[in-house]
Amino acid sequence: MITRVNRHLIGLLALAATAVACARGEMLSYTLGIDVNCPTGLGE
Amino acid sequence: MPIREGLARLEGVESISPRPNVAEATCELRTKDGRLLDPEVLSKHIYEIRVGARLRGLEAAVTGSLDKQGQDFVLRVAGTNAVLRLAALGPKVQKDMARKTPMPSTRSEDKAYTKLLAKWKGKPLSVQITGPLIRIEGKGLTLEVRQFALKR
Repeated sequence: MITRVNRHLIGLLALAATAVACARGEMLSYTLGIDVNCPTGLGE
Repeated sequence: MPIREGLARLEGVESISPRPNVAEATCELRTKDGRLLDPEVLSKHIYEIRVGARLRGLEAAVTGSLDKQGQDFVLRVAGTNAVLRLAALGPKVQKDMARKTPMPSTRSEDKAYTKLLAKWKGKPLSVQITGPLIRIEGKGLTLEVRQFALKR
């Protein structure tokens, strides 16, 4: 049987789970434009 | 220190593409947990690697919600509190190495910002936007719209 306290606890846990899921940003990828004066070591 | 090692030392960097795109003088980078990179911080970091490299520009592919804030259209980055002001495309990050100039934008890229705004019907719209990420004094981070795709 779910008591009133347990219901509150379940609610808090659900809220915490949502917060964790939302913590991830959605910057998918970056393209860096780099000018170089010499080999960069990026793999030329 | 090679620039790859230097970039990998930047806090929050998850991976760097194995090979650069030599034709466009670019490389790809991903951050841990999709974190937001500040172009000024990245530029300073690359300068401080001291291998004669300079950040010409930074382009980002971002998913979020198109919204209006005052007179500006903005992208509320999904999963964060970050808000990026949106603008029309300026010079591209990709470089035409033969001409030593920014790669010219296509007709479709030139119209992308206007086309995106035409989708606005007064309520937030889920969208993925790709374009140069720049910091404008007094206006904060601005994402220029080069391409977009509406999300469901």
